[in-house]
Formats: sequence, structure tokens, C-alpha cells
Amino acid sequence: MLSVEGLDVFYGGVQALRGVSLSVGAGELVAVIGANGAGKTTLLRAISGVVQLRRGRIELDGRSLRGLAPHQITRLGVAHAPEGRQIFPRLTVLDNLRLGAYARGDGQVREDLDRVFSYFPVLAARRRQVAGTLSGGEQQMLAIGRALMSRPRLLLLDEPSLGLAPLLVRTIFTVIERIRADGRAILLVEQNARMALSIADRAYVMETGRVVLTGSAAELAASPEVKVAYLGG
Amino acid sequence: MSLVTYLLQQVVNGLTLGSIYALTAIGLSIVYGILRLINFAHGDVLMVGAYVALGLLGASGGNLWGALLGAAAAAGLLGVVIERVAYRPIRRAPEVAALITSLAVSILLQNAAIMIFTAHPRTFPVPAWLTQLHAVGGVLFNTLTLITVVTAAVLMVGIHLFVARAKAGIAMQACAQNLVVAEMMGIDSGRIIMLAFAVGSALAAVAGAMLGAQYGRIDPFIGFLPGLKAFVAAVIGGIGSVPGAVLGGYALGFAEILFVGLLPPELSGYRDAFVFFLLILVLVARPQGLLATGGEREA
Repeated sequence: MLSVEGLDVFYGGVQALRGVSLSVGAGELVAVIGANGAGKTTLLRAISGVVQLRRGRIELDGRSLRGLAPHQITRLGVAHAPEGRQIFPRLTVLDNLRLGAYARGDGQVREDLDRVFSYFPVLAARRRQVAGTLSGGEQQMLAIGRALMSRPRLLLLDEPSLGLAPLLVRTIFTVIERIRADGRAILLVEQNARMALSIADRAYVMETGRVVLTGSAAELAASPEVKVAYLGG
Repeated sequence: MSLVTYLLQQVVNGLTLGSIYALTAIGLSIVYGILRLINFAHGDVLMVGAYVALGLLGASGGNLWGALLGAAAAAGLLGVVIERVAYRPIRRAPEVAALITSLAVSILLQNAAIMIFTAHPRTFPVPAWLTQLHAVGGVLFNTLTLITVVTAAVLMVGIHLFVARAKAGIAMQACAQNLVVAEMMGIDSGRIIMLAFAVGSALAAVAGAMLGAQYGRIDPFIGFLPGLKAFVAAVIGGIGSVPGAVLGGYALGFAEILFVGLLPPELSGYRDAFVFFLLILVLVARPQGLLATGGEREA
């Protein structure tokens, strides 16, 4: 469904991605793990059109996304829950969620709201609250819920576990598995390699802008390099 | 005239001036909210609006509402063209580049107006029914003042409801809070920015027409001080917020009228200096403005 080949991305003179290739199949949950600064976030930002490519190819079901604006890519079925949540802090929970469905005019927003509330019941209880007053975990739920409102075929999740207590991380990962079970493909970027590999089908390991290792999640979890570098031995 | 009547008279004057500042400040504020651009050409759009209103008043034989509507439409279009031609090409450039560009647009509009209308002031033909005087409890005002205050209030409530409730208004708020993520939601930020310029410029044109009618004459430079003062109003109120711009506009209008009305007449020539002194006071005491919009936008 998503196919990425040979991506080079520069920030000014600094190269952030070096020939990155990866793919996500329909309904697949693919993880990208790696240290801070490895280029994981840049990879997601390149896919959703926020940063420009120097070289490479990004295709969604055979259609090139290169050169499209972020709002056009969203309309093609890619939703992005960005790093650090980046909810709209001065809008209510409900307005944040409705903005997620901004590009859609099919009148089934109600149904999608209900689905998001079934994933994250706490958001229903706080629907009239201003989003900036939510806790960190609730803001993460809102960021994921907001992305789901566009009914994406591919969901990009950037560090959903960032800064959250272990119990909340487990809650959120349980929901991520449910979202996948409901038929959406997910590309999950995580520093928490253990959690990511525990739910992913396949995974890529990134270091300094390159993909250095790839395989099934189980293979990677068992590989000595990954164990030493990312799973604490 | 009793002191109470005198004060009430000043309230009417403050409301009138405040309405004009507030209408002008809204456009500056919403554009700044999204682009972090201080649009120095905004006052000159007001000036163009005043000229269009003048022309339409003459052509229509004194149809005030037609003139206001026409001026708003023309200025809205002008705002969109300015954005497209002058600001969009440098969207990714440092903010100071946009600031300098807006100064250039300001000078360009003034000079275009001089070429077309000459630098000589023109009489603003106010229809006779607008100059009819009313007295309520000793406070005097004419129909024009009443219309200015009420029209401004209606427009401001309307724009506030639009930004707070309408889908495009909420998208505008989203763009102001986080432009990149707003795009990720499927919002075409270019269209929202265009809308902000159109709405803000239309409101400025209404303010310009009212300013022209109040003073009875206009020239190509009438936009300069109101534009600057509307910026002061927006900053005082908390730039980026529509209610803040309205509050700042009225506060500035009242402060300026009180300064002129209560202090000895020989000081009234310093009213503009007073306005900018007020700006400095607010910036020292409460730099985020009276109604702060909250934390700075990320990224």
C-alpha cells in the first residue's frame, strides 16, 4: 500500500534521511525503531508532505505523493498523529476531533466520533473541555483520535508513548492494536522498541538517517544487535 | 452642560472612535495570528476602502449601504490580491522579509492613490439624513454616529461567531495555533489565509468609509495613523484574538477621547503621542496583551 524508496531529505545542509526505503502492506502494523535523531520523525514528515524530498519516491497504492501538499496527502487517506501530540490547545476536544474530519464531506462524522470515543472513553467525558487542559496521556489519545477522524487507510503514529507512564503506554498500545484489527494500516515510529516490537508485524531499525536492519518484529526482537542497542541487553 | 452629560458625550465619542479602531484591528489581528505578519499595508487598504465608498456614494446618489457593501467587497478582493502577489511568494522567508514587504505594499498603495486621486483631500459627501442630530438626555449624536457604532458592533459579533463556530472559522483558529498540523488535518492553509485577508480587508474598508464620513474628507494618507493605532489596539488587546482586538480598539478609542476631553486643550495636540505612550505602558506591564491567546505557537 505504502512504498517508499531511496528517500533523501536535507534540513539546510544537514542530511536527515539517507536512501531510506520501506513499505507497509494493507492492514499491516509496521514499526520503525531507533534512537533519538535517527530520522524517524523526518521519515513520517516526508510521507505526509511536511518536508520536501531531495531524492526518492513515495507511493500510496501506486500513486506518487511527491510534491503534494500535506492537506492533499491527508485527503488521499494518510493521517498523521505527530510527535509531541500537537493538539490544538485552545480548541475543545470536540473541535479538535472535528478538524480531523475536516476534509470529509460525507456526513458520517457522528459515526467516527462514536468510534473514537469507544477507543478512548475519557475523550467522550471531556468533549467540551479545552484540549490544552488535558493530561499528557489524554492529549496523546486526542492526537490519535483526531488522526482517525479522517478515516485514514494509513495511520502514521509518531512516538505515542513519549513521556507517558507505563500503564498509559499499555492502554494506548492496546488501542493501537484494536485500530489495526479494525483494518487500518499503521506505520508506528517509537523509541520504546520493546512495546513497538511486541505489537508490530514487521519493523525497521534506523540509525543516523539510514535503515540498518529490517525483518519481522519477532526476528528483530530476538536479534542480538537489537537486544543490545534497543532492548537494554 | 452638566459633568455627567459631558462624560456621556465623551462615551459616545469614544465608542465611535473605538468602533473604527476595533474594526481595523480585527484584520491585523487574525492575519498576525496565522502568519505572524504585521501587515503595515492594512491601513492603506482602509484608505482604498474609503475612496471606493466615496465613489459609490457619488455614483449611487447617496446609497450608504450599497457603498459600504461595495467598498467591503472591493477591499476584500484587494486584500486577496495583495496576499497572493506580495506575501505568498515569501511565505517561507524570515518574518522580517514579510514585514518589509508590507511596508512596500503600503507605500505602493499610497502612491497609487496619489496617482489616481491626487494628494489633495476630497470631500466625503455624507447624505443629509446621516447628519441629522439626535439628543438623548442632553447627549448629542447624529445618525451617522449611531450607524457607525451599531454597524461595527453587528459586524464584530458576526465575525466573532464565525471564527468561534463556523467550520472555516475553527479551521482559521487551527491554522493560528499550529499551521503545519492544520495542514495535516486536510485544511488548505492557503485558502484559509486568503479568507483571513479577505475578511480583515473588508472590515477595514467599512472602517475607512466610516472614518471618511466622520471627518468629511479623505486623502491618500488617512490610513496611516488608523492602521498604526489599530496595531496598537490589537497589541493592547492581545494580538491574534478577535475579542482582544475589539477590546483593544474600544479601550484605545476611549483613552484617546478621554485624553482629549479631560485634559487642558493645549495638550490635545499630543493625542497620538499619548496613544503610543499607552502602547509602551501596556507592553511593559502586560506584554502578552489584555486578552492573551495563550502560549506561543510551537514550531
